[in-house]
Amino acid sequence: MSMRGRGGGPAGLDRKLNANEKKDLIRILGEAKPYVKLMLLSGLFIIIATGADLSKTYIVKTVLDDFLYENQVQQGLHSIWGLAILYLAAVVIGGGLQYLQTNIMNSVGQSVIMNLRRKVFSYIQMMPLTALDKISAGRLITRATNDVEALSELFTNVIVMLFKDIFTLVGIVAMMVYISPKLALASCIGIPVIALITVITRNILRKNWIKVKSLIGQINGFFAENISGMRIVQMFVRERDKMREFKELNDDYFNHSMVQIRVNSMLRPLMEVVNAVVTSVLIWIAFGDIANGWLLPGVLYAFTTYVKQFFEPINNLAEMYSTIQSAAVSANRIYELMDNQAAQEDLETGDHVDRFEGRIEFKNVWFAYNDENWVLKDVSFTIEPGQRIAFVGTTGSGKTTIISLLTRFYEIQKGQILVDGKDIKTINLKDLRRNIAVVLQDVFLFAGTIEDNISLEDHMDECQIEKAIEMAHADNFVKSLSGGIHHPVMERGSSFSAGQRQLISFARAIVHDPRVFVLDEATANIDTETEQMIQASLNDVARDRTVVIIAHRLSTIRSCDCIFVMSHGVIEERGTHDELIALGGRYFKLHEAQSKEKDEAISA
Amino acid sequence: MYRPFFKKYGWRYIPGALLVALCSYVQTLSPLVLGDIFDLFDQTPLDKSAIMIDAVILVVIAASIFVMRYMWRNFIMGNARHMECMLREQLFDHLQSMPPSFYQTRKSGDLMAYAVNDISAIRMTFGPSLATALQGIVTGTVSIVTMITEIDPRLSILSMAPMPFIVLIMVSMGSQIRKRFMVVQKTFAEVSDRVNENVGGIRVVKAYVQEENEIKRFEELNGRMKQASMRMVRISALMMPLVQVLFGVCFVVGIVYGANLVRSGSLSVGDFVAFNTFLTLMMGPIMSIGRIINNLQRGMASHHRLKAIMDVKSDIPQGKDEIKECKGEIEVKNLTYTFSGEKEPALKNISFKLESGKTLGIIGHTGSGKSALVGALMKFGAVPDGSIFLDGKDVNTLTLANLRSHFGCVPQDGFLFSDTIGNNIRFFEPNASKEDIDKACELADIMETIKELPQGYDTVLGERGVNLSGGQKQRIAIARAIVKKPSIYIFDDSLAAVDTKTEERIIGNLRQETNAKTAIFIAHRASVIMHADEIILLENGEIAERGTHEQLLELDGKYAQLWRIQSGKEAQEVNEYAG
Repeated sequence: MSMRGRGGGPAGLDRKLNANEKKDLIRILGEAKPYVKLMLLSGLFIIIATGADLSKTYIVKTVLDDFLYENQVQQGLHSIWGLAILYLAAVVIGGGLQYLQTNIMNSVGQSVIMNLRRKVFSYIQMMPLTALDKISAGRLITRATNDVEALSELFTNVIVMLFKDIFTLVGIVAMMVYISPKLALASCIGIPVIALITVITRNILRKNWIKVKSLIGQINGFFAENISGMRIVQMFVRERDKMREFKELNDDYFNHSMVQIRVNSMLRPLMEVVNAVVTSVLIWIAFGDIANGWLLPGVLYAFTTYVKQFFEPINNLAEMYSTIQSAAVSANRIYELMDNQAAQEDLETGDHVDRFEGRIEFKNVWFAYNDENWVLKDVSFTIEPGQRIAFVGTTGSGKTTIISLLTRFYEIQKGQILVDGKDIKTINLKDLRRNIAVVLQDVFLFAGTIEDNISLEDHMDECQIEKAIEMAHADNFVKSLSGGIHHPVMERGSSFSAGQRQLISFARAIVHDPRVFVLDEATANIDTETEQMIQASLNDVARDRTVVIIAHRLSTIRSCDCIFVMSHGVIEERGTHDELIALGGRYFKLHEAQSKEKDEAISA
Repeated sequence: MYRPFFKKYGWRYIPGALLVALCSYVQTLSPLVLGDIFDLFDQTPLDKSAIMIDAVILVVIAASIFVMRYMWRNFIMGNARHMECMLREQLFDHLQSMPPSFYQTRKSGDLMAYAVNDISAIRMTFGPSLATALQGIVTGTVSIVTMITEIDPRLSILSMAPMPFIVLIMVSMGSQIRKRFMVVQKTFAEVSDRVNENVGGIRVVKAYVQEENEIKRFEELNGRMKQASMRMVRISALMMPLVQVLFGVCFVVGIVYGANLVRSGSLSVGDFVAFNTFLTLMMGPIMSIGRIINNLQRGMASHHRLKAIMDVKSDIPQGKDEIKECKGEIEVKNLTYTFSGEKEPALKNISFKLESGKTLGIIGHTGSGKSALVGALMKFGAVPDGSIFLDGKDVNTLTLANLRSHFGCVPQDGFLFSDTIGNNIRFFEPNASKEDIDKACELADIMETIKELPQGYDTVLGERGVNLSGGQKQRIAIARAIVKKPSIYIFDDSLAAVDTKTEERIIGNLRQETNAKTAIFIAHRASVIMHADEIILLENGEIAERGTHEQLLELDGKYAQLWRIQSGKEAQEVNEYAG
């Protein structure tokens, strides 16, 4: 459905570029600065190659005039053989330089694109969650992939072609003037006609093409949507109506694509007509001079050939416009993302702390994701090293937010968070996060193997991994898979159940040996068996670590040293399980409700 | 698959092909006329009128090519577009006739690929490729024949000697380039996948401080992407210069040998010029050989894929009978129903009779066969003869369209189309008046929500429009079923995403609305079905308990147990099902 209505990709722009886009187009060209020398060399090659190409016609003309119409003496290079060798040399030099030039420019272009892709990717890596929350994943992905790719054409092709086409046009006119200024003037009358026809038709084609592309998008969207909703269509016996709707779209597409065919089939043949007319006019004008012997007929050969060569560069230039346009749009989008330098996390500075003791303190912490919608209001608590504590509360009470703040995914607005007595703002971000392992509610697995998913990119030996799996009580499950820890994990772990994914992510946390262990407890989608396993392994893991549990089921936290009950961003109650039950407040009610629910869960 | 197309538009290929041939032939005349002009310039005294007549002929030739080309492109390229559109319609039509089992085994992305890439590849084969091939063959043959017969056989053969090598290079290098290009595309897909995954898992990346490792890992892939591109460039950049050099050899041979022939008097200057022009003319067709072969290969592959899909037949048999006025009486006799492609039956030995106007409630766990029963009733899979009867008629004797038209079903996921709310509720129902729609919305308890939207019924839903919550979607789906005024309602867990209070209200409305109509309620929750005339508790595809609410409570079996739990702890139980 994502395809619906989106022109997508390049060549889908029906407007003039704005000032920013123009500026960014220039700026993106600047990315090629380190390669300026290579580009200049490439330009030199183009000049020579184009010259060689244009000289071929002149060589044939010379053969015609000097040796066929007139019978001049053959001497050295000024002979049929000599000219033939020159011709061959022109072809070989032209071809060779063209080959070199294409290689150079592509290597420059690909390098620029590679650097740019790395820049964008690295930028995304270092964006803080506050910034990432504000931009959709789809957009980020497009910036690093399609937008960068749209620029590739600019560097590998457009710059070169632009140069080559302009030089070809200049070269042709120069050759013509050199041979005969009078005829040159006459044939140049054809240029504006050719240019006018080309630009007008290209313009019609471009506008129509945008329409065609948008219709293709709509057709694809319609298809995709109906495949998803096929059951409804069939249930309501609406196949014919949907078909009619589809036919309308399809017919519209047909009509627009026919415009494309019709206009396209006129352009080139029309050029041939213009060429033929210009040739006739040239013959008519040149006739007198040839009759007088001032000119030889070979000039006609040269001119007819050169006039034909006018069309290609003009056509290219007209076509290039849309490529440049879409490149500018992509450049603008990329810079728009990357210009916000403030939005980068700093992993380098800050005090290095190798291993935490594990003492955590929140001092009057206030936090809001945006403006003053406070998610946490004046929250204070202390967790001693080695303690096991839990946060409970309804959805939106702020308990999950606490974890995000502890690892500095978000910056607090007021108050202070201390680890081992040090403000976390002064601690190196890498060290902070390395010491705190979070098992997230929504487990994310990467495509690869189980081993990759546990060790991530930190190299670990198999022994460590096996041990972590054992500690996570995932060994039975992993052993049952073919290949054990080398068993492949599909994209996003789709071949495993939620419980299995949770176990893997548990092993992932264990193997990274953190000082603080945070468990954001998953709810509905874990079966009782897995839950028990996680409980058991938590007891193993917790031995000399600080453990923080974001609990949804109270049954799992009875043995905690302290339980914090959260409500609307405030800690309402705190104490051990027994203390809180005795208190008879919010925790007590929650406990009552859930112990009943548990019976149901078994029967439902 | 192509028969309807050829029947309707096939004839256009005949004038199209004739015009291509004629056009290509006329094109080969212009070198001769040009040669004649150069011959005339070689005479003394110069015959101005003869030269000018030739010049005018050149213009006439160009003009007639213009006309003919315009016509044949309309015939042939237009035909290919006709074919594209017809195939797409056929595919759409075909997909609409496919049962759910078809969609379960195929990814929608793959099906989309048929509609987009394969059909377009077939169009390329029947349009541009066909025309270019035809044009090339005629131009090539006529040029070669003319060069040999009209100009000089030895000169022609000698200077065309490199051409077979050019063809060989084009074909072999072309396939190399294609292979390397595919590597480039595959690598680009890998880059996309990697970025996709990275952005999706960015929280894990950050939590485990993997940013730098991820960049390093990406760098490796990024480098491979450059390498793959360069590997392709090295060979693709070589092909054109190489071909041009070889053509250069053709010209050199033509110049040396031709010029000497002119000087020895066995060839005229005009023929020399004409020969040169013929060589130039032949470059086009030869250069396009690689492209044509590529297109043909792709076209064939796409054809096979598309045909394989089009050849799949629906496995649901249907009859010819129709019920005009449906009373809504359903009888199921010993129904055993198996999903297509599975071994274990989803329903075993189900029997019940639902009188016109009565209500049936079905309850059971996920996977107990509730939704399979809906599928069987509406024949979304093949059911055995003599197992389901509608108004006393075996459903297998009815047409599918007629059978389904009597049902108004609200499925679990309230799928809505990217259209206005009004159109989604109306859903092509021609008889739906504004009052009908209003009433349906009232009954489905969605009126308030719609009124609050600035555009009301004209609010566009979906990606480009408003996003509704799951509960709101379900209620619109209910309104959609009500507007249809069916003989039999089926509510397949249609209220799962609605909160308890709203649910009660809607159930009340629906009981009123379905009072005179046959209705089947399917639910997890006993409260939804407790008022039904008969309740069936399904377990593993079999009827475990049946009776009225009171009877079942008296039985004190599974239903009674369920009822006790759910009625006692309604408040907490909401969470349980929302998960």
